[in-house]
Amino acid sequence: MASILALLPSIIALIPSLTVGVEKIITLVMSIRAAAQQSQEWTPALEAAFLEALVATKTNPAYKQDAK
Amino acid sequence: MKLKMILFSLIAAIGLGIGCAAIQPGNDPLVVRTEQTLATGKSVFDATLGIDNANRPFFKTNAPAFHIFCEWLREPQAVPELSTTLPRASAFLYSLDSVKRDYKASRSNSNALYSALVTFESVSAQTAAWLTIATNLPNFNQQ
Repeated sequence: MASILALLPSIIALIPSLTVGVEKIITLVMSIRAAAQQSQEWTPALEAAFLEALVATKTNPAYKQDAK
Repeated sequence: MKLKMILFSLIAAIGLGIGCAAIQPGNDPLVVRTEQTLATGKSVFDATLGIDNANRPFFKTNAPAFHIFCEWLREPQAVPELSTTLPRASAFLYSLDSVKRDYKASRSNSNALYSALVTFESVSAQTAAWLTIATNLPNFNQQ
């Protein structure tokens, strides 16, 4: 059991190279996992970081509309 | 197809094989749940728009409704508090976060926050549904 657990990080690292989009799905699942583990309110630093991340989407290519 | 199913089962098992953490005393459960929704919502938007952005011509041709929905999420919206515009997805998150901050500062009641939370969850759920459809397209892995 312990050896399987030790191999997990390597298996996880290999998954993104298998199919397109899987990396993003893994990131999504991991962030849902992190959110589920939240047990207290955000600190001011976390709040500021979240707002900064929102403002940063303005220049993120994935958030840019198609060129017209 | 079998590989895909195994892969997604593995991801789900690793990622979701834990329960929600108990909220520590002294913390408002409504605020914590709102923050969890905000964090999850941001990740759902990042994943959806990132996947569409990875190959826009593919989705434009093979899943036009999905691409149109993504474009709708990208449309710039004015955010007066910041004196700028943000993509609609981020403006949604900013709006919910600002209601939460008002609630924490006792400038609005829990009904206002709850209503904002429910409204946001409907957008987030719709985005997640599109993500499921887009990642299950027959040619998704060959794009």
